[in-house]
Amino acid sequence: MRSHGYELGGREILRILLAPVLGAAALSALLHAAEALHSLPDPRPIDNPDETLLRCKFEMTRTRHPARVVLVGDSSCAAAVDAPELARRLPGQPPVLNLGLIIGLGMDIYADALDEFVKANPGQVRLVVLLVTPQLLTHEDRSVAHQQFWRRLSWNSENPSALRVGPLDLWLGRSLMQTRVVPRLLHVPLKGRAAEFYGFTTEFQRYLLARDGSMVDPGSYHPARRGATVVPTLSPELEEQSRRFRQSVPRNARLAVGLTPLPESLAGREYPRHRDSLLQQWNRWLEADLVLTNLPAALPDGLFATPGHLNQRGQARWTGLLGAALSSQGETLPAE
Amino acid sequence: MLFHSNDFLFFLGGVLLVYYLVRRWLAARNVLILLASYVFYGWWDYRFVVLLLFSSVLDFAVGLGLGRTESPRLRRALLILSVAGNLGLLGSFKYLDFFGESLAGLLSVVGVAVAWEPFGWLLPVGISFYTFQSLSYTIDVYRRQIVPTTNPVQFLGYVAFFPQLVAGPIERAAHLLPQFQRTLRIDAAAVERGVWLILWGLFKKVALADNLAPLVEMVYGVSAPAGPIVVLGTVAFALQIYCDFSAYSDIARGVASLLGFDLMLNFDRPYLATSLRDFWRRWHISLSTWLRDYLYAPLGGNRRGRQRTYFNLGLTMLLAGIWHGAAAQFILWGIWHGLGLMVNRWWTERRAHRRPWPGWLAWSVTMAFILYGWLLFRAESLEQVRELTGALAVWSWPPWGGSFGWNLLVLFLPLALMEAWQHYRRSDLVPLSLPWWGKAALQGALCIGIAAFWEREAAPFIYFQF
Repeated sequence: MRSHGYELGGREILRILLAPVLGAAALSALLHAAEALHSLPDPRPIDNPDETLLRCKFEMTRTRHPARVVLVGDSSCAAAVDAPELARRLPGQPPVLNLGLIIGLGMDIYADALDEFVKANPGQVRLVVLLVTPQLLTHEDRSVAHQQFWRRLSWNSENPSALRVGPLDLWLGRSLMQTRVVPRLLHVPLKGRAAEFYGFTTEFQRYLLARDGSMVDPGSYHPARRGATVVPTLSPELEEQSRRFRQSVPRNARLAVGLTPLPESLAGREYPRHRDSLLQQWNRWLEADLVLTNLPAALPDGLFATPGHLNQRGQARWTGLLGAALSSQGETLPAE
Repeated sequence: MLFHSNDFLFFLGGVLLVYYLVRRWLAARNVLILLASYVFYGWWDYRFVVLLLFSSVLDFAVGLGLGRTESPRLRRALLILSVAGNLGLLGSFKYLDFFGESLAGLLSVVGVAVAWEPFGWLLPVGISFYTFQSLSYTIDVYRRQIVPTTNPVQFLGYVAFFPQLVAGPIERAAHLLPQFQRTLRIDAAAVERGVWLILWGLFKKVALADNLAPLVEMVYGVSAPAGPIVVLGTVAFALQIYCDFSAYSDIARGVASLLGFDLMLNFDRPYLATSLRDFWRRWHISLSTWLRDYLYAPLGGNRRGRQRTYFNLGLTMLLAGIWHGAAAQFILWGIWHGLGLMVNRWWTERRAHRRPWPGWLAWSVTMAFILYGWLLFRAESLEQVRELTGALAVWSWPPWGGSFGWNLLVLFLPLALMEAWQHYRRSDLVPLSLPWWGKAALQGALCIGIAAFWEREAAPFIYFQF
């Protein structure tokens, strides 16, 4: 018995299949035409939280901002210091900007970020505070993905019209949809505790802008087991990057360097002394004007969201301590 | 392999090509479908194929036996063998650990300590669907409603038919099996229908359901959300599960249509229902009719008085809940709908001679009931059911509520517009009535939408877990 019969010819099949193909091609052509006529919204790719943070800080480094005190470092810096609150606690209440990024980027990118900010805001910065987690000194946490993302931001900002496209992008306008249309239609939800606190990347970005680059990590730290302590060491590979970073600090600005605190359960009894020794060793390369050994090396576990990030209460405490530490060093405060 | 994956695109392309080549031979076509279906199923996990084969061979043999004997005792024994075999398979993989742990828990309450070591068996994907499909064959043969088939290739192909194997529709033998036995026609309408259903299904899954999922997770995956967000999150889940599940059914029907097969409609705009009975005539139609014909009716249906009718409704819906999974929330959902159907029936009888409620009121009450049912269904534990129910009384609005509501609206609109159009024109294929340029624009837009979200890690269909 015959299995099945096709009661349509090649022309009909073509007509049926060409409908979606030509329809998609026509709409894609419209999208490309709109892009060429600058009628599409600016690109805003669908970001995850890390990329939202990096994109926001990237734009901050290239924007006018009245900051006279600039915090630079990794995400522990972004979480540890509330910039507007620090500004209130310093004599003269100088504007503060928190350019804390992500640990995996490395100090050369921190230096680039500072360079760009100084270029966009010449003659303004009076104090740079380099704050990182002790883990950064081991030079083990390199994130190639984050570094590539940051470099792509730089590349795109210098070549705004040059989007890398493949054949599917041309036929289906995929990259235009993803970067120009979808982000305007849909907010990107966050996950877990970040979702509870911020909701969406849109709100996360708004928070960063409203708090001059500071963020809150809404997690809560639960130490896995007692007794395991962290003993960071200073990697020799950090020397070149540290010296490069020193050169990015403007001549008429001071440099202060510190390490964000560890949870007490991870610190161990000898850690404060070890921390001071690390800072002094590191400062041989950084040649900072102020080494913040007058800040506590560790804080109670309840002030932490993760082993590397303070929570909101911890941020309030640390901001106060940092403000007091900087205020006590009268000659390093920026003159208004 | 998932429908919305590159693997499946290549698989389907290959099958369609070979399908064209074997168009002159019915036997070859059925062998092709059987092989393709087993490859499709084995792609998930080759071990699952053994279970599918077991269920199919068992029921094929039972069917043959039922066809050869007139002895009532023997026929009943064969039927029991089929039921026991299929439900035993389903029960072992799906419910054994749950009932074991529940029993151990109950015994511990009365002071009897029993240690239950879970087997931890992986749940074979689609087992709830193909066992029911295979079982419907033996029951229909037993009832002499259909003649048993003597062709094993046809029967195995019927059970394993890849477009609907892992998430339905649960096809009746009387509808699907004859299509393996006759010459099929593939005309322009079938191809057009297939292309439309596949595109609309992919759009619902990739662009709508997978973007609704994170919204749902924001509510059900965190602690202590406020009332309005619980409501919106539950609406998001109602849309997600509908888009996800109906998408699978649409794609299944579309692929089948390209092969000349006709699969049953599984969803008929369920969120337009104005009563719970109406909802169950529109939602997962293949399961609800299966339960009606093989459980509710044999229990007596509504023919043995009011009390027995309520009991039958309650038991049927309880088992519907259990079918979905071994968790207290599914059982609670089943009980909720059982109670709702009882109340619906009682209310309908009570108001038989009065003016019916206005449509908007009936719809609102029905939707409120269904939404709370979805809250029970989606909650991750009974504690969360309590927490979310209590949160409904907390009326505060989080700062990100606006973004949440916006996303929900954007994702709801395309679905609402399409379903309103289909409802107005009383056909789910109404988009095919557009002129060619209209079809091109609509289908082109769907392609653009699908492509915009295609590259993300493919999320499995929700009903694969049942």
